[in-house]
Amino acid sequence: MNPVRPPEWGYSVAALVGAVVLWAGFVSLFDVPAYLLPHPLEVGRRLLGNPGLYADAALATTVKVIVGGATGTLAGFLLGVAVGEVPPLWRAVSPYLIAARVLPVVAIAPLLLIYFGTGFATGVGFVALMVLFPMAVSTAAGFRQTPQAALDLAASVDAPRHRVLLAIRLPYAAPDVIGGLRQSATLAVVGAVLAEWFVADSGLGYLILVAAENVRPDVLLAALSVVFLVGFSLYGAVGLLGARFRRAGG
Amino acid sequence: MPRRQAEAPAIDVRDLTVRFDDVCALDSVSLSVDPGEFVTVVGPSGCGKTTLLRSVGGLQSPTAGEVRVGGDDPESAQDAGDLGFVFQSHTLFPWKTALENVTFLRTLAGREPERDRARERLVAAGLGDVVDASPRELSGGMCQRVAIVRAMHLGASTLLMDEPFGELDELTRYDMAASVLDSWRDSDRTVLFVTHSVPEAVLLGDRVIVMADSPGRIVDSVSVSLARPRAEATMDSTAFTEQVAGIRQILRRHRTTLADR
Ligand SMILES: Nc1ncnc2c1ncn2[C@@H]1O[C@H](COP(=O)(O)OP(=O)(O)O)[C@@H](O)[C@H]1O
Ligand SMILES: [Mg+2]
Repeated sequence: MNPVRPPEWGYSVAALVGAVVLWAGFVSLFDVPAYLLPHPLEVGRRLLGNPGLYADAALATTVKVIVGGATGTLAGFLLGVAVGEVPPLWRAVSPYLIAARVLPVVAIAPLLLIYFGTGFATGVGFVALMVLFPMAVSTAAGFRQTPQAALDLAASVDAPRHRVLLAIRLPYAAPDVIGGLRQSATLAVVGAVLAEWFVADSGLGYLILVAAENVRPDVLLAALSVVFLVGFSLYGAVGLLGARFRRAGG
Repeated sequence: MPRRQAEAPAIDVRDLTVRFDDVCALDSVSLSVDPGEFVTVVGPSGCGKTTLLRSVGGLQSPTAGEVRVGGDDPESAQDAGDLGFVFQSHTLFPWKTALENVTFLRTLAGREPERDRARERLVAAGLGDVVDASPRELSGGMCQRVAIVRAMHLGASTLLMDEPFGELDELTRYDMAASVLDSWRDSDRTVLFVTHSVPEAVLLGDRVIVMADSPGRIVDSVSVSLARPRAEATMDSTAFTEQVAGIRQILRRHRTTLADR
């Protein structure tokens, strides 16, 4: 039950600026050739020189992240509620859920290619698979930790099960559910980029792949910084959602 | 307030036995409580006080024997919103204000929340300043006060209290005891009140049920002969001291020492 805190903007922005300055200093000082590590200004010039390329790629990736992430977290949430609510189900499947969380989903990717081909569906499916199990495990853990006394109180007035679920168990589970969402936000971006490597049709992952094949570290780093931006924004958005929920609900 | 037939006991426990694996938490316990009676239960920890209360409230099913609340089984009493529990820890929901906590139990029970009445009750209990406060901002004693108001607001005719002041300091305890007595006097509620403090049991109860452990059982039932209304000053009287001493003797007589085990 980690408290959801807004990011400390000042420190993190300073750290980012510091890292970029170090990078620039390192490249200038040791005269690192651009085909190994380009200067940050060079990367910036790449980004600004062809913003359409990166914007299109970011859009393609973000759509996969949002569609796949929403599907996967929703499915994971529902699975987690079911497993957290029904103790025999928890006993039966929790070992596999937890094992599935450490399973490299990449290993399943070829299967997705067989099922869905090299299109949008495979990318989305892969993102959904990435977030499904962590979300299910977090949610189930949250739903299982309702204090017994709270359940006793509800039982003492014979409260209907759906009301207990929505009005007591869900709020107690909320910090874990939000934790699962935060985890999913970053995993979904990683998943989308990975999917674009093996589906290889569009997006930032595809751009990174092409840049690497053509030995263009400047383009690669430009694309990577956009990945970072997308992931960071998403994580921040989920964090704000969490903080908002906390204020409203507790 | 639902009025039941005068002849039916408010709580009727017959030959109640509750076993957990190899532990006999209650061994053939029988107890009858009249409507409007305030009965306190004392005994060493582990003697089955909580188990008894949970059985009366339908939260623990008996291994053998029978429990009736207002002539019905505990499940019907739950269903009718006729059981008001106060647990040792206050069980307020941290995301709700004091007032919302008080009304929420009624909502859970499928009743009208009656916010205005709830507010009045909080004010009457000296909690007027914290009506809209979060439990996180309140002391343990205040939270427990809110929990008691919540049980009252449910409108249950039977209150089951399990060491509700157990986590509070000495001074707060007697303050709380006084306020429980106040709200009980103005109602016709039946109270079954568990405590491990003999003075508290005597101060509050019409009758003190004395329990012993291994196995959990009732060893005596002592009528308290102190006039009401009682207050903290009651505890200074010789009559009070004598009753407390008498109950302590009973407890001592039935104490299982380590050597007996
Ligand atoms: N759910 C349970 N499972 C197993 N043993 C229990 C359970 N609840 C109570 N007990 C045991 O039953 C006995 C009575 O417990 P309890 O009713 O809590 O006593 P008290 O409230 O008087 O301290 C104790 O030995 C306790 O360990
Ligand atoms: Mg107890």
